Amino acid sequence: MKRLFRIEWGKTWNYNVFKILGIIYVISFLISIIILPLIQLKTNMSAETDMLDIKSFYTFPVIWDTYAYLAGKSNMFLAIIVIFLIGNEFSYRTFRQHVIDGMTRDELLFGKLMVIGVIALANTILIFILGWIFGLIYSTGYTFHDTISSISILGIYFIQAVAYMIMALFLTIWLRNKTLSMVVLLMYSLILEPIIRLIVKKYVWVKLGLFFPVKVTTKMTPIPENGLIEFIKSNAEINGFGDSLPLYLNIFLAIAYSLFFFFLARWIMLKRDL
Amino acid sequence: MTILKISGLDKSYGPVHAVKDLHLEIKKGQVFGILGPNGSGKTTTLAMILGVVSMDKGSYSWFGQSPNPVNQQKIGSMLESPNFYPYLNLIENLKIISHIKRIPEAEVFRVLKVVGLLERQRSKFQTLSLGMKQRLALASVLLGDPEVLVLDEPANGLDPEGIAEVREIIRQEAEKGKTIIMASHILVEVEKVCSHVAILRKGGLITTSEVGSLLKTDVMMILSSDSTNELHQFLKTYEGITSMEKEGVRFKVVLKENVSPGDLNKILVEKGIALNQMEIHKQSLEEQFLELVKQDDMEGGQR
Repeated sequence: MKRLFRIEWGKTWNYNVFKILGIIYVISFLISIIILPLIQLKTNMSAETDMLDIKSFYTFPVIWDTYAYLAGKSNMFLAIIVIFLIGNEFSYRTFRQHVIDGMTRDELLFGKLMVIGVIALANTILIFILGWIFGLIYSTGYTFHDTISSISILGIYFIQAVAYMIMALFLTIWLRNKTLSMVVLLMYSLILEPIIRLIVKKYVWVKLGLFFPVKVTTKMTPIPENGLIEFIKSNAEINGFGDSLPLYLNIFLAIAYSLFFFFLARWIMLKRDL
Repeated sequence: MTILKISGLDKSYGPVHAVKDLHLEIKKGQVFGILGPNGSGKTTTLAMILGVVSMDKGSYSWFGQSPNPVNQQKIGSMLESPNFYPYLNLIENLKIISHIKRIPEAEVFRVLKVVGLLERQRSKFQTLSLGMKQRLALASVLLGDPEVLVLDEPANGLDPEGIAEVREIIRQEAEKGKTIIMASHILVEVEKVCSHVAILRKGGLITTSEVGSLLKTDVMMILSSDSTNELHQFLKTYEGITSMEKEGVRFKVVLKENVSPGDLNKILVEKGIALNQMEIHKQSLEEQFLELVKQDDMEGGQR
């Protein structure tokens, strides 16, 4: 375990693209959590007040849901980092060299799984720290119970981030090409799966679309339970995307998909020439 | 002690039969050259015995055991082009390999010194010349002082000085009693460092032998005499040669294994044929290789 960590650390931490993407990710997240509370969102939710106070989503305990939701929206970025890290191993032929030097193919895969775990964990810790800082700044009149009552969403976010990155791991092991993997991931997530979901929803079973991997994963960090949820939900329902499975089922399915994609990647890894 | 035993190894890529029913046995301490033109199956064979390419048929064993990661770490290997992270410097790259091989990081500096790259230790891999990259690959092979070295075209991209240095490193490692398996198409280099050789052609094994005996088998002589006709007549009937070619007034003959140039000269003197030219030419590995390939082509044609 320690050996695998040292191997992966040596090649990941010194990779400038990883550092740059990581910094961009953290800065974007910081901007989103600092700028958003400062703006007032115009809504048509209420007849009495047509202004939604975004700041309310950055107070305890809703802040955890808000941060997990925002971080969840950025998982594609993490997946792209994973595609870069694994794609490099194929383009530099270092996976092949590692096997020649005495690593097993399982070790290659577990090393990358470890990187995924560390990225997800680091991100979860980042949200945890920022949540405390900004929660304390924006919240007033809260109890200790308020501060931690929905902190468990961070655990769910961790599973979600891992699930997303495992999907990227599978694609890169399968396609062995960074650009192609990125294109396929974006096309599938943003175009293909939504179209398939619409088709199966219309012609097969109305709920079937909710069981698809990207849908399941994105629905793990739901829209924060506050006025915002009503606002977004109302828009979503207009667009016909309002449904979602119970959270526990989403979590279960996300873990199941992660295991499926991981073992599929392992099967490909063991079977193919390097 | 057998280090590597290959039995009936076979590999096809679609319609291309890359390696055909290959059998080889390499013993401890041998410097074993695998020779062959491009596409003869050398790299595919090495890739199979190093576990990165699957085989269709056959088997191989290292140190008398089925391949396993523990044994793999006793083998230092480089296959085709050097594979490193371009954005890492030499130390960082070699440290990763030292972790893979479970050896102390300090080894990195020892091997960099051996291959003469200590001064470039902080240079990024992508800034190295092809020759330096090749040396770095050799350094990675030497990490952990492995019992067996597997080298695929180790002189690739090196200048003459670099080739001589690599040859010297290989010699030093061989003197320590290490087993070295080296695939190459630079026959002069193989001849200089290898003790044994296998010649591959179109995926099949043409011959395997000690380099010395392969070179000893045929001695070629160039003869000329003022009595050209008598010499021609004699050579046509003489049973001590395997071939004869007339080139103007000169005759190029290849002696049988049990006949020495002295024997032939003695008979010619007894026959009263005085020679005015007698060149003894031991066939180089390159000539021997080309001869074998030609012979294999002819046999293939007859088949």
